[in-house]
Amino acid sequence: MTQVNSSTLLQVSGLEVEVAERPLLTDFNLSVNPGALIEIKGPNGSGKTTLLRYLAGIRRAHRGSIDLRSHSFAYVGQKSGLNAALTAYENLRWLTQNADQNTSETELMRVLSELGLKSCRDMPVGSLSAGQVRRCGLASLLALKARIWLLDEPLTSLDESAIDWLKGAITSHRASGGGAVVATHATLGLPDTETIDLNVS
Amino acid sequence: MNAFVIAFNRTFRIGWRHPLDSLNPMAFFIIVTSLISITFEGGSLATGDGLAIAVLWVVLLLSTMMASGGAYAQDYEDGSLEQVIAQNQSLYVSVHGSVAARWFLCAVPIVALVPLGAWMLNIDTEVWWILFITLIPGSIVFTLFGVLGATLTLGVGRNGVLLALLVLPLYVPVLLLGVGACQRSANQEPFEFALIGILAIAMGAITFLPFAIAALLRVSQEY
Amino acid sequence: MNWFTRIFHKMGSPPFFYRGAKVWVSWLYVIGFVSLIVGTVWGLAFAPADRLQGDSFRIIYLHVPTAHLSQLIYIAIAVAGFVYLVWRMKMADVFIVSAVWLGAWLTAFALFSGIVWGIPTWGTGWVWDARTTSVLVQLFLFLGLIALRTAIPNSQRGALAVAVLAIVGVINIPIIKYSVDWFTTLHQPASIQIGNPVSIDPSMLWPLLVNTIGLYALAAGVILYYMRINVLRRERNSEWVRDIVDSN
Repeated sequence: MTQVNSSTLLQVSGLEVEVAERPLLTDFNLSVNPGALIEIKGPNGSGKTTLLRYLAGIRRAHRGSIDLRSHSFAYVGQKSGLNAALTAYENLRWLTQNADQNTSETELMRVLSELGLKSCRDMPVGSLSAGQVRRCGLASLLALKARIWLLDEPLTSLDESAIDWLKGAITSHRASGGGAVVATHATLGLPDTETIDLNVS
Repeated sequence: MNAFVIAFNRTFRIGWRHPLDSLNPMAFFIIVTSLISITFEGGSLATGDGLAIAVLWVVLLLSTMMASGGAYAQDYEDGSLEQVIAQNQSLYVSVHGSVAARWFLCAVPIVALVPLGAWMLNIDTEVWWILFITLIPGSIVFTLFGVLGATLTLGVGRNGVLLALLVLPLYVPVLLLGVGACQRSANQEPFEFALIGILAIAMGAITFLPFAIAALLRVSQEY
Repeated sequence: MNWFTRIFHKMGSPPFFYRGAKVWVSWLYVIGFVSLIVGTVWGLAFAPADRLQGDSFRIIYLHVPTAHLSQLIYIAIAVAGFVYLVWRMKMADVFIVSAVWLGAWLTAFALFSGIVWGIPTWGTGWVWDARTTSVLVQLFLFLGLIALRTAIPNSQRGALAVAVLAIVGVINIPIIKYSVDWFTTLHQPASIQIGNPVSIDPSMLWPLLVNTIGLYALAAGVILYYMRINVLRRERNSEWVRDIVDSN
């Protein structure tokens, strides 16, 4: 599982994942190569979300290392990361600025319309439906143009068409050499998926 | 783009969309000042400027604390704080931007009401300028400590009493120096020491408190 | 400095601390109680009365040691907070949690005994001078630390928050002293100052020193006692605690 090669996007070695000061996973290893899709499975409380937060750098590893090799990444967690008072467009623009990227206005508009949010451009996120907020959060994946996608339960409150869109987006992301790590309890059902079951390891 | 500018723009824009967050503390300031003014007129309190200045400072301090106490609560809840921490280059700089915006939103409007409050409390107009000079750095310190208190209590729930308990003791030096400077100026006594003291505290707070705030924001994600 | 770093690391290890502190607790209790009884009886019954203040001065035998000790505990908590911030040493947080209540009580007692002393001596129980004000603010800071630690159940977050607050507070206290000194001062200057010739008669000083030693020893014993309890509580899931429980 841990073939190391120079094109590896993300290399995790010997990571200890702790929750409430107790180690949940010890000596966790993972490498994400271009085109890889890795699904992290496991029952509630097995540390899927926490692991992803370590990978995104929201939590700092005390033991082990996470090497992103200065690749850009996008993290879509269970919280949307969108402010209710700002519009969909403003939120997306802030997310790209926050990741130190200069995405043009036309590019952001293209992303919003791809997710069927064009009409919501100037509406505050607080007035959107749960599914629309979720779509808006996923729109940041395209807006950020990141090599690595870190998704935490991305299927939550998505309708059929949005799920299809997400699968298509992940497929084309992989085709263009990106990698994705997805924490989910229901598989996406895409080909060549690597599965890590936290309950077993 | 610079982390300062990004955080400033965002915080300011969000604050602009929630005008009540700025207007409520302003209303609080006016209401409390008028309550005190009423009791002054009705009672036989023959006050010099001294007591009125102290009252004005305390009311302003409470209003600023309340205004800045909600900092980062929204960012913590909606997940944008974790986006900042995940992607950010310098949380320290970002905190500076956010605090600066908050100062404009929460403290500046209240300081702008000071002439009204001073007029209601019959403070001599000759003292007004020194009130402004001390209140500008003073309100920066109040805002910074308010944001510090807000980050200390992040995720604890909107606990105003806890915030007050944590933050008010920290306000004491600036309050004493500020009130002292204004009172002495009213009595034509030298007050330079206090002015320098407030400026020094403000400089120290601007330099060091964002470190503490950034560390607290970071650890707020370690659940 | 080798021995120092070695002790520093060992103190950071909970099982080593738990076993090592056991003997200390009982000894500190013995020293503390004996010295406090000797010092208090000596001070209240045998030391001469003050020429100006009469018998009311005798409260210094309790007031001065508690006031000094409460301040020392606050500074120690801030130092522990710094240690926690920099090295994330869990024992530092255990110390803070164990010492903070004692510090709050001692500060409250120092204020109270100051009032009791002040009424017969200066005719007023309360003067807003540098020392009284800073001790009062210190009490508020202690209460804030307790409230904050109780409000945040997550121990890592709570520990860091308390550490930050303690450090910010300890920087604040001297600033308060300076600002109040500038504001106004109306108190007799401190009688015991390191490096200054002592202005108090030796016959009055000895019981004070004995009491100070006693109070410090007792406080150290109490803190160590609670630290041992808190260490057990925190490490309840670890091997060595299970071994201790099994062997009992």
